[in-house]
Amino acid sequence: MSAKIAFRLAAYSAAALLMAACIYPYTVDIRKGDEYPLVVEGDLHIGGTSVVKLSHVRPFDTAEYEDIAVFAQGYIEGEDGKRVQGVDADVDTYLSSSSYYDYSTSLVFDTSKLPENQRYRLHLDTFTAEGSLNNQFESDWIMPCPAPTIDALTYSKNDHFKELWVGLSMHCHGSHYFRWTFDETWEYHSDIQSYIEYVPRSWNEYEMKETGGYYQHIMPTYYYCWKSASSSQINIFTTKNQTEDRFEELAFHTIPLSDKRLQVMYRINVQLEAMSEDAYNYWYNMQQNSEGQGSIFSPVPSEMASNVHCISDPSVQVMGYLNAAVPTSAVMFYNNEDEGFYRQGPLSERRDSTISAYDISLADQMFSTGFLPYMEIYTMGPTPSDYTWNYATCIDCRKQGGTKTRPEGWPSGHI
Amino acid sequence: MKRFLCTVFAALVLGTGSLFAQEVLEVRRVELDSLVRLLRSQFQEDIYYIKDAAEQSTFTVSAPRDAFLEAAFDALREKGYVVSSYGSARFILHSKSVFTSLPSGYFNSGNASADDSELQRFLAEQSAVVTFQNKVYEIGESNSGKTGKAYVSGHVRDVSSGEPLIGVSVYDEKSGAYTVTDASGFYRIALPVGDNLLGLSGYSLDDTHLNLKVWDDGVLDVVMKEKVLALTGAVVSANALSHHRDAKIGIERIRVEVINKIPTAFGEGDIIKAVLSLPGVKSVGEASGGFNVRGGSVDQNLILFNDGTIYNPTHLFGIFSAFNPDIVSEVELYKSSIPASMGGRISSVLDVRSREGNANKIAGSVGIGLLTSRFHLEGPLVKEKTTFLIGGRTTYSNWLLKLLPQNSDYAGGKASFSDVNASVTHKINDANTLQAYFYWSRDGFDFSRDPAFRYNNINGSIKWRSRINSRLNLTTSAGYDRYGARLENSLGQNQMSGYAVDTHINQGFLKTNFHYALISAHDLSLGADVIYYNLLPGAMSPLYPDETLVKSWQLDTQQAVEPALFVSDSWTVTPRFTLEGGIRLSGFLALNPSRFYLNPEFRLSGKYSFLDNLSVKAGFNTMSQHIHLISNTSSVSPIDTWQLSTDRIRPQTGWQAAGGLYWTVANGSIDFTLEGYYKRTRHQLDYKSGATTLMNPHLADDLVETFGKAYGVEFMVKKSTGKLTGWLSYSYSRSLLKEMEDRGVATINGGAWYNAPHDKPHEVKVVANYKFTHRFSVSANLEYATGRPVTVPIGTFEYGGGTRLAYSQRNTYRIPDYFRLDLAVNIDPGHYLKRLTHMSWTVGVYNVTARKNAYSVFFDGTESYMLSVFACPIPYVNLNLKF
Repeated sequence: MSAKIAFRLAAYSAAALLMAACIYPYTVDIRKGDEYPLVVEGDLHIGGTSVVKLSHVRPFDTAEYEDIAVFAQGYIEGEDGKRVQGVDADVDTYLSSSSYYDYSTSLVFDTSKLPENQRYRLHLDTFTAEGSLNNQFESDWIMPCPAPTIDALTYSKNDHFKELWVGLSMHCHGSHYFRWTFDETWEYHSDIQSYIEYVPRSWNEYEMKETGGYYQHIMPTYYYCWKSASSSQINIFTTKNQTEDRFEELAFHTIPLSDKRLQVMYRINVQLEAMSEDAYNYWYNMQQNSEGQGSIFSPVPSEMASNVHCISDPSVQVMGYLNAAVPTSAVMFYNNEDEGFYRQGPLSERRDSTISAYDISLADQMFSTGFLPYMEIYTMGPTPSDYTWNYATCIDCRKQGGTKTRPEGWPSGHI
Repeated sequence: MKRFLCTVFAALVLGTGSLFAQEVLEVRRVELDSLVRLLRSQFQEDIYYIKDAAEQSTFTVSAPRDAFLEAAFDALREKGYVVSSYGSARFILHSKSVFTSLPSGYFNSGNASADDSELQRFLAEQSAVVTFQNKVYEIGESNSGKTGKAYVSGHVRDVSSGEPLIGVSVYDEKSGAYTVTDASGFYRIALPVGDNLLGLSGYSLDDTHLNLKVWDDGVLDVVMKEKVLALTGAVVSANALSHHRDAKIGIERIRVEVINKIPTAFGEGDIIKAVLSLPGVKSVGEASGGFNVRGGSVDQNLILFNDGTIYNPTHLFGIFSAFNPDIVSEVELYKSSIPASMGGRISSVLDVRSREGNANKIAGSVGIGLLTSRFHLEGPLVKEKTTFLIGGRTTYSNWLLKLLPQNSDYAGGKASFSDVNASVTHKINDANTLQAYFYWSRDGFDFSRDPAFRYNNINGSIKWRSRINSRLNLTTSAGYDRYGARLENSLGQNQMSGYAVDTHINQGFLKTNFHYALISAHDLSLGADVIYYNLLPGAMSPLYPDETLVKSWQLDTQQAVEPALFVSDSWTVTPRFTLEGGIRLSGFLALNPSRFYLNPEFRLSGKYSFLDNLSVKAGFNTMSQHIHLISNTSSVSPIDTWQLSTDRIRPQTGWQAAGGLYWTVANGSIDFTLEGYYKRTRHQLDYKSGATTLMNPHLADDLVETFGKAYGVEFMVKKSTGKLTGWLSYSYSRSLLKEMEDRGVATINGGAWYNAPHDKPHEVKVVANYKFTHRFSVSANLEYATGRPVTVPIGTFEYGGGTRLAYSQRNTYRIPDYFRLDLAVNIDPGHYLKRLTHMSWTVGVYNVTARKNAYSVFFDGTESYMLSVFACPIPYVNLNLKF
């Protein structure tokens, strides 16, 4: 953690000491900028596939951004003079993290056969919507950073904060600056397991009033679900003040023990790469600008110069910093069956309603107002006379954002 | 007319059976005059008396010689007289008397000394109202043959505590010659030989007028008495007076009595908050460490506490100030005309002085508030020679932290501060005084989340004041100052990578200042300073030394010597026209690698009074500064890096031109001030975008030099006497910066002028106290200011998996305007002098209107928020017990 970020926490704490410091929503009336710089994101992954995503800074008034879609082509050039041409690709294929619909363009480069022992640079040409050349961009020469080795991904329970701390251990030869991203996937379950479902009447059936609307047994149930997310915060660390370029069990991610992520099984996948000092400083500044704001001792935000420059017009601003690296990744699982760290938080609100098995109209009404059946009641005979219903959010795990699609290679046997 | 009514016997009686011979004295039916005459002659006692005209009592006393004196006093007491002794003198006063003049016998007794302070003090303690118009103080021998002007000098002290009174105006009522008492209460004034009327006035003191017959240079010590409201006799308030006498411009002086009445967030008198209530002084927000004077940055203020430099004047991130209000006597802020004897910063000097301690008796106080408590004790160590003063403060804020929710980031945290002040003043003789000061403070923040912080101030100094002769006196001080800060970042208790960073500034100083009354119209000050700096910009060390991977390393320590020579003169050209000029040769020798800088600084100011109550002034100053605070946060943080000038970092320099108009009306109780200034600075440091300020061995590469430009107008109306006191001020001011070098696209705001972080053009401040009775008063404090400039994003972009913010120009947007009203009720102790303890209460509310003032505006993705530090009214209670 950076000192300034850390300082922000302390400052918040001092404010909390007063118990009067508060944060309120506030509308800032921002004058429109004259230009919205090109954003170049991506790393040259020597020995793999490199993706460079191009977009523009989006003004707060998002209606405008349609006008600043990017049309570009480019190549990566080695010091030996060899070039790898980029292929335009749909961004969503490669970068799924963006939840925004945007007009970004991704260029994919096959850098798998490039040698690691020379410098590279990126060349980009952007075009107007009409297809004429707009600007030309070129990055500085970048030396690929060596691949670090992930020694371990670990977790530990912190009783004081009631959190699971995820730690990373790694070592590297030849670099002091590191950045990593992660994605996490977890299996959780709903509060109530139900082996039955109600199939409501279709519109036609409803019109006929006689048929349709029935209960059936199901397998698998909507009890277990999977959900995933990607890191959105910036994870960087430097070993420049250390005797060795390694760290152990550095806590970078915390999960409250009552979080659903720990309910059944949790997986984290970390991608780590080494970077240059300048790239580190750029990421550090971006972290300050975006995550370190709003406290008493926040650094004044400011932009650092990118290593991609507009060569056709030096006054054109560019955001983003290209790094060349050989990434490495590792996976860790947490299984609550083994550890039992998960603490059940407050359960969702429940409201049992028992209705007659024959009252299809009422069942339809229950279904359409967000209820599901979960229990059969037998009073006489072999068929249920009544069904007990409850909120769908307590029964159907998908209502909490998950899916029934089992992730590839998921080790638990739940269905 | 006095006469004997009876015969006085003196008989020698041999007591039978007694081994001891006893002489018996006896008087019968004598009047007071005769009795006193007998006592004076028989016992060589200095006895003064005032006879009540209606009193016709006679006295009969018979007692052995040893017991006669007491028996006589007993007889007097029986008749309703009060007999008191003071020093070697005794005073016989009728208990019902109210004295309108000094005891007549006093002047006939051959008491040639002009030092009447003992008598004045005694009389004042009797609650008598004394005027001295009928007493003519003779200064020097009548046969000295001197013509022209002579120098009268001395100390002005408080009547009851014997402490020196600082900032008291001493003036010749005929010629207008004028001076102000210094930190030791010392004054010197040139008066024409012959009859003079000397006036003395000071804030919350009763004005004093003394008749002087001046023959030659001489000494006159004076005691003054605190003003009792019902007895307002003040004609001209001290402050108003100084406006019309002093050539210096932009000086603000606040006494601690006023400071204690200004409502603050937690009720404790706060020196920094009081300074912030003055026009021309701003801060970036409510919890900021430091202040900005006339557009200058925080590090451009020299904060002196008894000559020692305080690098961090705040506790708990600016919520409290570093100065214990119980031990402070007066605060002086120089916004424009900085005396040549002071230097080293280009914006202002805040001179905070502690009291010396009660010279007469042990006294003290205890203060209890919601978050802090404090105490102080003072008194004589050796009667009339040595006094001491000791004070301390501590917090118990941890209980508040414990109330926070268990799962919050703050649970289990600790935040605290303490400070200790101590001083000893020793009067070697009438001409020489030695003082020793000590100050220590520490702040600690230890939250369960990273990181923890500590910082501390240590100051120790010795000061020698000497009156070499009637024209020359000397002040020399030597001391040591230290500021240290430490950051501990455990990185989630990571044994291998957890680290700590320490920084400190150590400095030793020696200052010598001669004051010399050259010829009658000139007052010369000359001297030299030297400061030795040893600054550690940063040292990193492992937090867990056992398993660590963290290197122990440090940035090169910076050493430098900062010598300065100065001379200044105050020249009373005519009674209406005064000029002051000074030169300060400010040097700086950076060591390793060595580099020498020399900056001559000029101080010029002049005053012309059209009328006794209407004056204009103008001033011009140049300044230089060799120590810089490198901060990339809007509010200064304790771990920001201090940096000395080196071969690569040039000194900051600047000049200020100022003018003012001063008008005093309503018998001196209302004072209008209008001042304007224009100021330019060079080589002020700003940082490049993305600069790292902590542990950066190449910091100079990350810094840019800027031009600074500030200008403004300040208007203030101040009322210092009567039931309603206080001030109202309005200021319009701008503060702008511009990079000195063109670095192409990287140049801050394209090389154009940009707003400084504390540029708040419009500001209205009201500080008022209304006294209903002696004991009961209500205080109000109101502040309005334009919102400060901040940098806001121009848009967002997706990067590294999250929404990031893109920024363009620095400080182009303003946060909402600031408004705050605070109210307090002060209940002071009754004027029962005999009571052992005096209790006073302050009950108040900070931010009465509950306005949610923005401290900052920030974005989280596309959502914008504001942070408000004190968003709701904060009630407080403070109890003060004096003994």
